[in-house]
Amino acid sequence: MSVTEQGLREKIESAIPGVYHIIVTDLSYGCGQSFDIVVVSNFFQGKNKLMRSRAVNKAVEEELQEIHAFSCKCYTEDEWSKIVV
Amino acid sequence: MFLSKFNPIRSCSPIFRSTNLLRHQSRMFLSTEIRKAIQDAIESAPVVLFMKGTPEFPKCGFSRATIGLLGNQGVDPVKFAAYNVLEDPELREGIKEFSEWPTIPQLYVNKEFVGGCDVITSMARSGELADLLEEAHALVPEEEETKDN
Repeated sequence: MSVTEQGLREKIESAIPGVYHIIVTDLSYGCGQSFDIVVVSNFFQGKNKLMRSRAVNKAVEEELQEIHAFSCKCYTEDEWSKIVV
Repeated sequence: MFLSKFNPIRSCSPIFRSTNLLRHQSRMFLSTEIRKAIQDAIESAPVVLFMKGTPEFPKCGFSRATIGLLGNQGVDPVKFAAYNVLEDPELREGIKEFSEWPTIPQLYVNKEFVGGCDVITSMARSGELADLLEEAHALVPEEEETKDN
């Protein structure tokens, strides 16, 4: 089974509490090798970037074994509201 | 342009020196020897990057971006070492387990794991990366830089 946007989204939503927004983009043209992810949750409040990424990495640990390229940005709701004005 | 700053780096930071030592190891999960070789690599300079390819010829967009960021920050080549994980499959897998981080590149500053490309990009934007490198005395001294210009 190759990795899908839907699969990653579900894994992250079940592992990270209070997900406000999540964007999973498959950049691989369908082969499931390259993903760009944005996760917005107040769970990231008070956590530095490394801790935030570690939380997401852990959620998609299995999938990461198969993915070649993986980019992940994590924001709190407040940080996110400043990005998407 | 700033990439050229890293040119002398390779001469003073040979690719993973312990390559031969590692090769004949049987495939165990992070043997003491591999762990030691990785630890030595991390301690070989104040700023250490595990990357795909070399600073001059990165073989992955994320590694390229990271090298670019470090160059932009003005990392002193003397304080920098890069290790090409493509040269050594055991380093490539070993460093992931060692850092508990699933992707390459991986940046270490003063023996502390900082993060991968996304973390470094966002730290560069917020100014945290500059502070970290400054604190580690890893930047090219101001006067020297102006002399170059």
